[in-house]
Amino acid sequence: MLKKNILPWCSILLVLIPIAILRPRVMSYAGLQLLLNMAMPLTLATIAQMFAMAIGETDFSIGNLVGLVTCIAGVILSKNEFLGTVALLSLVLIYMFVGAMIYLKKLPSIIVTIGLSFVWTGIATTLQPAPGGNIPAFIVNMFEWKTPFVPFPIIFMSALALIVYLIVFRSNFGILIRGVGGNPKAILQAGHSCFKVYVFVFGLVGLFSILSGLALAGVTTSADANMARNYTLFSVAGVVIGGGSFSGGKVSSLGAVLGACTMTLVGTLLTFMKIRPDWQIGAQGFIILVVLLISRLLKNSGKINYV
Amino acid sequence: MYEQTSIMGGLLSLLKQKKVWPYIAAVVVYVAIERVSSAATATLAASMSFASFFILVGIGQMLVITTGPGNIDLSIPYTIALSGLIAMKTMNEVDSNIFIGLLAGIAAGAVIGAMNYLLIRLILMPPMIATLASSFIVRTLSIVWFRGLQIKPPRALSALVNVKIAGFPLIFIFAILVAVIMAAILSRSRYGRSIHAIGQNIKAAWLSNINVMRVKFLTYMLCGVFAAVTGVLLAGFIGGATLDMGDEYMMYSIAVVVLGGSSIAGGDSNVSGIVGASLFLYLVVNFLNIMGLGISLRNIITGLIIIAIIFAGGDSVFISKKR
Repeated sequence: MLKKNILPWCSILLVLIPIAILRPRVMSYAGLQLLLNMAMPLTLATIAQMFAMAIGETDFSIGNLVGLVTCIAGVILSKNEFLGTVALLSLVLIYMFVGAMIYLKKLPSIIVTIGLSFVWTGIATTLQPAPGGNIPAFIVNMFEWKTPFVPFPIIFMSALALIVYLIVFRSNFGILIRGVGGNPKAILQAGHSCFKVYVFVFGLVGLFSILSGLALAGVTTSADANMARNYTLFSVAGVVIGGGSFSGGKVSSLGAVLGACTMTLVGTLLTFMKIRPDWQIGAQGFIILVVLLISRLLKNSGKINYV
Repeated sequence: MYEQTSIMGGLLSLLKQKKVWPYIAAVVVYVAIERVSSAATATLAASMSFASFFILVGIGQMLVITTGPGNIDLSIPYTIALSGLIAMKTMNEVDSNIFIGLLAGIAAGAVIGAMNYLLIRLILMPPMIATLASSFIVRTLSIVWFRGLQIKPPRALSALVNVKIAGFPLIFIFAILVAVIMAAILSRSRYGRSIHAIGQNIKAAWLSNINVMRVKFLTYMLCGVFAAVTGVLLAGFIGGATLDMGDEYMMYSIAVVVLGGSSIAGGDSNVSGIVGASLFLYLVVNFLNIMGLGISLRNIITGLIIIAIIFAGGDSVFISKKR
């Protein structure tokens, strides 16, 4: 377990140590709470992306969906809890339907989700044309929870990593998920239904994206269709840093959580290093490349002549 | 009786070709526009102008996608922006600098494309990540160098891209010409056959002595060049290069390739489908505009149309996808 996750641990230490040196006071209860607050929503989105990538698909609409969920939370959920819940649950159903279509008609998930991303942003800007909204108090309170001794974000993300670990590595369903990603024919031969796996996995992608949106709304107390635009890339990068692969079958729950934290902390580190906001997005892209380069050097074995 | 069946058969086999559908859809949308608008021909001309940009960008994206599963260029939007900005800055609103500015823009696109492939090849990272990460860097460069200003094109460039010949925009004719040339290159040249071979089976292509690295390097570079040319023409057309002028091209470049009947899994390209798909998508945008729908509803409907067409297509085209 530790050996497998050596890269994500290294990459998070690589950003955490400079932060600790630049701002020693961050390493306190309140400091860590503030530092890792924004990591919670991205972690959930990364877990969502991890499920999609486990079966060899990629969801390119996660960032837009998370934005939509903040708008649903700010506009519908705050006025009518029942209606808001129905709206959120119907998103999960839509995702399950899309998963079914992707499997049955052998569609490219990238294209379908790109189409979806238009729809999500369209609905979101209809609900909430400009950033704002009124996030229900119970969501906000949940993410301001002052837990004893250990800051809430750390407990939250540890629990998340554990739950996802149990789903993916300790349940029969998890074996099927990884099997569909690794060798779908073998799963079919063994008498299982890849269709069911696709439907459930896409349901999970939708569910975790929704949780991510609620967390983002809770942490930022605002609804904004475009707030989470970067989540699509950051979630993919988080999964890859965490040791997941694009071809499916290979994932790590703890790795994904650590990868998401790294992606969040990179932004903080750049701010602490007084790097101008202009340069930040480029620096983030650069750091993704460096981490991936290191990971490649670590596990590169044998010469590959054609890529 | 005989004749009728053969006509029907011919029609049916035509309809089975994926690339025909966007054209049919485009005609349907145009008829709808004619119903609601008195200036339908003007709308068509405007759609053709914007569709030309989709065509150019789409061809570049198609080349990359054709080289096999996972290959995709997500840096197109910021390549468009950066090369447009660099070109306009070089031109400096002076007509005689247009050619050198165009070259500068194309060079920028080629460099970005080359960088994309080097990242993919040297770090062996998935193209999706490599091109997105490099697009972050490209975007930052555009922000830092140009501070979000709009840089105006020389007057002659604006005039040139707005010229109409017999009702057809000049850039549309240019785009069609490029499409015809690219279609010929793809089906007849060594390069064209190489990228199909690589897309169908990269190992077999490598074993049969195709220089995979060189072909893919060239492909990513060409994609950057197509984006750059689009950036320069677009800047001339909309009256200035801006930071976000390429934003919508990430989605649309992929959409026109897939709607046009190319396989997203690679190995099967289709240039003429891109032309139809580009026309169709831009006619839809214009139709929704005429109907007075806001940007939100337009987004929703565009997205639903893309999904609906892909759902309807399905199976036959994507059969090569591994599963």
